[in-house]
Amino acid sequence: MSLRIPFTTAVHSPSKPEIVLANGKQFIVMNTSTGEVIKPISENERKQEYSELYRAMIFNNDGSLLAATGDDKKINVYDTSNWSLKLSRVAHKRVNSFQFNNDSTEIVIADKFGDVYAHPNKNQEDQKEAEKLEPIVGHVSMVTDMTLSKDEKFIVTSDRDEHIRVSRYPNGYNIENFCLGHSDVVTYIQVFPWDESLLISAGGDNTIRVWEFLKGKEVQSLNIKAYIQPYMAKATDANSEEPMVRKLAIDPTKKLIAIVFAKTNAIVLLEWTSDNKLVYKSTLETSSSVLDACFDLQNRLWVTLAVAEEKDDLFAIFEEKDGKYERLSSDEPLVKQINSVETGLVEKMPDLYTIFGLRKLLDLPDFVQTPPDKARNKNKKRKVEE
Amino acid sequence: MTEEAKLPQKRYYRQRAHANPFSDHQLDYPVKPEDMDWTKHYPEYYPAKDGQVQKKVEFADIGCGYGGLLISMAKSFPDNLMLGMEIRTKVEDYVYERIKALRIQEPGHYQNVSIMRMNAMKFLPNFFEKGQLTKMFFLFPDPHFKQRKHKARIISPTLLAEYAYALSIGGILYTITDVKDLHEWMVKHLDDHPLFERLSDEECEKDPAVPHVREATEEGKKVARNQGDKYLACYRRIEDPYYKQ
Repeated sequence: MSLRIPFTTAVHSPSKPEIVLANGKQFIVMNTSTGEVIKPISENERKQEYSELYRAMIFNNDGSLLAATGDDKKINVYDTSNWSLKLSRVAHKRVNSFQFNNDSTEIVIADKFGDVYAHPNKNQEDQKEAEKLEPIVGHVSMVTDMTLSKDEKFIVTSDRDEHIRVSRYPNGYNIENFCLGHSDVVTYIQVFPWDESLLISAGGDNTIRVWEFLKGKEVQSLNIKAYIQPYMAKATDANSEEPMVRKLAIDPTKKLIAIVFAKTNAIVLLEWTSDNKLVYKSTLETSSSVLDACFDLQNRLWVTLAVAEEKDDLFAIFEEKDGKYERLSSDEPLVKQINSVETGLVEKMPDLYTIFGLRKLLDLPDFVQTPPDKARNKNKKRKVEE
Repeated sequence: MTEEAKLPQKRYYRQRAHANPFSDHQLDYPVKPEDMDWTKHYPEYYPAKDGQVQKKVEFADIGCGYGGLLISMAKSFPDNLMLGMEIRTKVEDYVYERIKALRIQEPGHYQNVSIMRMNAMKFLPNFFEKGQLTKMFFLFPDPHFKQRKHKARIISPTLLAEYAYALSIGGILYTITDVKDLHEWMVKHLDDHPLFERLSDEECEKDPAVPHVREATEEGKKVARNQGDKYLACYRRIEDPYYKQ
């Protein structure tokens, strides 16, 4: 019995009503005004051996290019006018997070090894050229996310050891300061589109924090546990007991922040008020686990869902009505159309929530002089079961 | 002599030389330097006495082993607070007991020395503010000979950025080893790092900490007994040359 692969990553163009949706080894592109599919699943490659080839995707500032990277360490850059592949580069290690610089001459990447590189946005000449690239910033533990300041004079990187580090750019060997406050892995950081001196961060410790990042100063910490706890799926191990933020979707015009949690049937909406504070707005419920979410150009929130059965929806769309965000009914023509889109197929659904593994609770301590008969089984984090 | 003041015996504190700095050791560390409670380490200095400026740790011995350097430097630098960081539990226990005993045996001394069990590779920024340290010591570090272990070396481009952050401009970083390969590795990475400038031999000889670096540690004494070579390299933290262009 073949199962539909859900859309694990969703990014919206900054300039056109188009959304790019990762689907295992392929991605599709959909028009967010009409629901029409611009770039569909390739028919002869529908059945897949699952691999997250599009783990991270990002548009450049004007939306003319899309970069995508995944399990195979390739960074592919597409021309968004016709979705042709413009160029391809190979990263040293799997990329966790990346972005184009302002003029799209570089793609700055952060890899799972903890290093940040600035790849020139052109085809790799040869293996030698790739090897000559030196890391700009290095963390001892895995870098989970990165972002450049608007003026590109600073680069901010977050890691598994709760650190947010602000370094000069491109002289990343010079650390400006740290934003220290989180008590668990930091999974998402972003500079506010409407205030380039402020950084927002989130991760595994139930808080969303705002920083004047150049000063390393925390200006707000909002605990969101109460808003999401009731919607969390049952934990399968110590790492998945507490809510884990996968990412924040930001709407620059309405100053809204949608929090995407791993393996949870809801999204928490926050608002940035006129007196510069983050406040809770509402919790949006979905029919199944949220995988990703992003705002379109009409301020609607597009949410992709994990699907178990044939009848399950792949998408939920939330729109503002009288100041509140409400889910568009499944009978709405747009919703009906997008939920019937063709996806790739797999025999067995893979683990979609490996992000819980970024926590350290299952990493056993190093016991140095344990008698052999009492030696603990020194292994490996258990996988989060479906 | 009371039970407390007896120096600990090393044979009860033996531990293998290697610990994996990448695994999570269930260490206690503050979220940020402001949150750290130093009163247990320096009870005579925290909280600061009336009219006195609060002293902070200025010298850090990374991978301090059995504490030889700190114990020997405590009296030579009585006005500076110094801290040893050691990842191996039993070794840290030994040094802790040693300092405790010395503080009792010699009242008024050794109050400026302490040790903690810590992974300095990961959590240095949690303890030290920007530019807080004036000296950092890396004495006879684990060479991690195998190529695949090179990221575990305590001197690496990644970590030098963090050490530069913790050191004040003009602060000194000391390295010494008997492994020539490791010495060349450390020198290469420090030379390559724009925020460090090597001290000349003359400057090293004039530095009052250098004799301690050479002679005071267990490792140093062992190397001397075996008539091995000791390779010293000292670097000063300088301003970022990037902005001088």
